[in-house]
Amino acid sequence: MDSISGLYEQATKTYGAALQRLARGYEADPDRQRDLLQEIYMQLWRSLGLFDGRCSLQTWVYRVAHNVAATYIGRSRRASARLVDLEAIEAGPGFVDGEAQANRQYSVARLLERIYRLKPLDRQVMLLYLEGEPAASIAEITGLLASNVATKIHRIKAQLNREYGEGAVHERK
Amino acid sequence: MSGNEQQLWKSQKEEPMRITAEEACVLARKYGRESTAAQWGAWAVTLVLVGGFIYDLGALPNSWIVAGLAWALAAYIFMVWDLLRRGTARMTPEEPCVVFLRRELEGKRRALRRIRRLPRHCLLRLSWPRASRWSCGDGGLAWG
Repeated sequence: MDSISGLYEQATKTYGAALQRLARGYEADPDRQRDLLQEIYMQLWRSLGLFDGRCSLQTWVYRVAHNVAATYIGRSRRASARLVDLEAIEAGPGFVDGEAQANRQYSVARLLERIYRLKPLDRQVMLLYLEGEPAASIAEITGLLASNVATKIHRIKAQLNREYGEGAVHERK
Repeated sequence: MSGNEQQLWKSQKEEPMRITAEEACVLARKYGRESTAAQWGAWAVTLVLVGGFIYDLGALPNSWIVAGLAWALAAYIFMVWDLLRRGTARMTPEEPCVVFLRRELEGKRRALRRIRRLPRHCLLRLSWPRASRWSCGDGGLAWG
């Protein structure tokens, strides 16, 4: 039990912030984000008894988190109706009032809106990419081939560049 | 743009939410209890329904009612079968996400295929020929 507690403390301390962003990447509603995060933590606790060190703790934590989140989204079937609502995203806990934050808030909201439209596997790759994980690590977590991950990341980045470009044009107009 | 979206993503202000090991342990135990209770509950309801059906089988006045109840019972067992068989789903993080997602999708596809097959196998093979035999005597449809 102590080893599980130790691993759990280590995991939540190291990856707590990333898990919170991950929950935000799956669920727009702040209350449901908390529910999802609570479920992730609970399933992480349950799973750590099986942790045998064959993969890194990071890989283990991300796998649990993404699997729980994918199941949560599949079960709730709330994604499409809620997740494209920019006002709901901007009203979330990650956003603060103030003029200086407005542009950043808007950019994050647009980024989230794009994430919510992605299919589960693409969303996993996208979120891991945004966390700055290298392609090899993403491949290990998702089970995709590293070459597939690289292709997906390339396509995601191209899409983001295109959409940000379009957004910039619209903003200039 | 390259790399900017990563900075943007990580710049989100985080609402502090931390669940301690003790709290997670309590949540996990509660979840385990609820899962076990749900499984036992499903077993109990199934046994009561099946028992009631068998007990009342001779007393039911109309064969159509028997067939209808049997059909409803079969549909109920079909719906709760996965819960009865293997309990609630467990996370298995030894396997990568893509395997997990594939397994989930295959599970759903199997369930849908079973639903699609159910009427053909049960309704047509069992209910319809019996119904025709009841309504037309022994010279009803030969198949089933």
